[in-house]
Amino acid sequence: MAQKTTLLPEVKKHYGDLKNFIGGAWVESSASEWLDDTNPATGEVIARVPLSPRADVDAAVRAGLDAWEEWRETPPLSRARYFFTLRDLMEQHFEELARIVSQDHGKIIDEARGEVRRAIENVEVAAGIPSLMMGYNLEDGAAAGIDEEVLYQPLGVFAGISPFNFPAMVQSWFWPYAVATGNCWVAKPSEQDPLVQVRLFELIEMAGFPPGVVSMVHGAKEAVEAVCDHPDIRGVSFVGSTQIAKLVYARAASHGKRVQCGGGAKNLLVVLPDAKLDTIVPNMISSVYGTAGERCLAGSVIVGIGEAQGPLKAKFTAHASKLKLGYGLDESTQMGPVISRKHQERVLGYIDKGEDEGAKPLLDGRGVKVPGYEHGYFVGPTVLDGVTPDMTVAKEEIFGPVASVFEMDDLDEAIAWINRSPYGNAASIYTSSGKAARDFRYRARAGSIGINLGIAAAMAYFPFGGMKNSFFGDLHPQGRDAIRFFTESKVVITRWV
Amino acid sequence: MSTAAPELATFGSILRFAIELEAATSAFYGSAVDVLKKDGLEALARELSAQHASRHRLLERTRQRVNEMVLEPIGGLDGSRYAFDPTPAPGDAVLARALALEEIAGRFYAETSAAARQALVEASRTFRKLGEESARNAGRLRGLSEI
Repeated sequence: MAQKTTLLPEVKKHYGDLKNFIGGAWVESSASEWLDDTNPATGEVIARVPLSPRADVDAAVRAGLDAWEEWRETPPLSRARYFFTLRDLMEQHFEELARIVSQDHGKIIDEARGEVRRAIENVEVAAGIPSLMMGYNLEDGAAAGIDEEVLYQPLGVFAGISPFNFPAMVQSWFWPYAVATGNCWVAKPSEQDPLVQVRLFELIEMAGFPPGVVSMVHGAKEAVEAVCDHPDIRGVSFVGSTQIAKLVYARAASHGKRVQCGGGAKNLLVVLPDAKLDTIVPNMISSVYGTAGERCLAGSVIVGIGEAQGPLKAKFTAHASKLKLGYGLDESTQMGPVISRKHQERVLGYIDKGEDEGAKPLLDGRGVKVPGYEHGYFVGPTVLDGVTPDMTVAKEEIFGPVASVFEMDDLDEAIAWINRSPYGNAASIYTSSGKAARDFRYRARAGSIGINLGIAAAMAYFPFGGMKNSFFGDLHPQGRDAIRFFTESKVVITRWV
Repeated sequence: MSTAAPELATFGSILRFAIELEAATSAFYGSAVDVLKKDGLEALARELSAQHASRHRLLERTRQRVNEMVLEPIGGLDGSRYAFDPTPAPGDAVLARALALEEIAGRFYAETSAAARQALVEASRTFRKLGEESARNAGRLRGLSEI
């Protein structure tokens, strides 16, 4: 019997020339350069993105400064109500937002829905700002009759620069908290897939946020540099590659700004012999190949310990080989394309290099063809065996659907590897042993630890972790960390005479 | 006429099929109200139409509450087992077709609940409850057919 697949409709075929959103209005960028935004499954151009110059960033910051005094004097409960309205609008447009993410980024619709859900959850958490932003006090805290208290106050205008891999979610790690605490915000979404941010800003506009409180400027390098250098931006939030995260951190900090920068990763999935392979392998597949491996939490190094090695390799490869590639808007698709032709070539180059250096492809995603999507940027699921620590594929972040398989004798060796790695974003262990899991959790130096879970992505009310070269800064996105990042603590000591 | 066999390899495709099944079943019962009037069963047809419409809404909410941490490829479901015929039936065939729809739903939800149990616990629980409800519906319809 013929099988029925469902190809969901695209929200639009073409989104036109994008505009910036500054001071509560959609305005033409003064850019002289534009970038084509393509649908990675089809290769079709679906929008043109302005590479805005410094002047556009400056206009957004000025709008924020103009709005700031009144916004910070708006009571937290009133500020929260804008988020309730926005949250309802996001729910009403949930499916539309998810489809835009899938069309523009390439991830499958389930993953896109999961991402939009995350964005909504951050808005929901930020709506609790009257409780989240409370300070604390102590009667007679300074001396008898002298009370002491701490207030959390907003600072002014913040800016956020987000990557292509989660075009809806990553901005939401930042801006709802920044704005709910009484700051103003300038967003610079990825120039590779900004369309969902455009739609979200239309919803932000509908929610009625006062002009200038939230602005968006499209762009690339010049806009990022302008954000880092601007004297009136008080802090910068960033997620991207480690190389750029380091540059942004150093440059923005040199101008006295608060900075939080998430970088790259090389995450291990460690499998002990007592792990239940039939249960965990599908989860590992999701970790490695979900979002085509373009996740900073993706497992990219598979480590079988002792007797786990042979069966793990066989089962993992068998499962990976069955993944169905295609357009993310086809609901039967299990893995979509990578973001761009350039990135596809980069990922394929890593597979070539791995093979040149002695790794053996157990599953080779090079040359994959997806019927009906011959112009898409697909890389098939790949498993490289015989990888050694000195190989490039073992050391560098590939950011694609490529697993490197290692064999190790014991858990100590795996933890030592994790702790030696320059990255420290995430690490996961699969085991039935509580003792081994506890040992791993205690000793592994990574910001997000998964126990029998390959994507340990913090919910909105917890900080999104990251250590070593995976995070530069002190306070992480989301949760209480976000509230602290976007506020200054002021101590007041009072004596009534 | 039966629907084409769905390809059920992702959370989204399973939810899509479930939502289509519920919408079609609700519409089927809606169309059966007049046909079953002569047997005094129009209230039952109305009740089941409303019940499946409510299930449809529940599944829409389930689809939107996805957590990507537990999204995993789903294997082992044979879509050909769940092809269904939602077209209105003539008087003497209504109960038989309704029974077939409920049996397919019962089978579909029981099997997807099992397939999703490990990763998608909330969805699995929803599927299990819907499957049990369809089994109860099927029992009621079987009882009527035997009268």
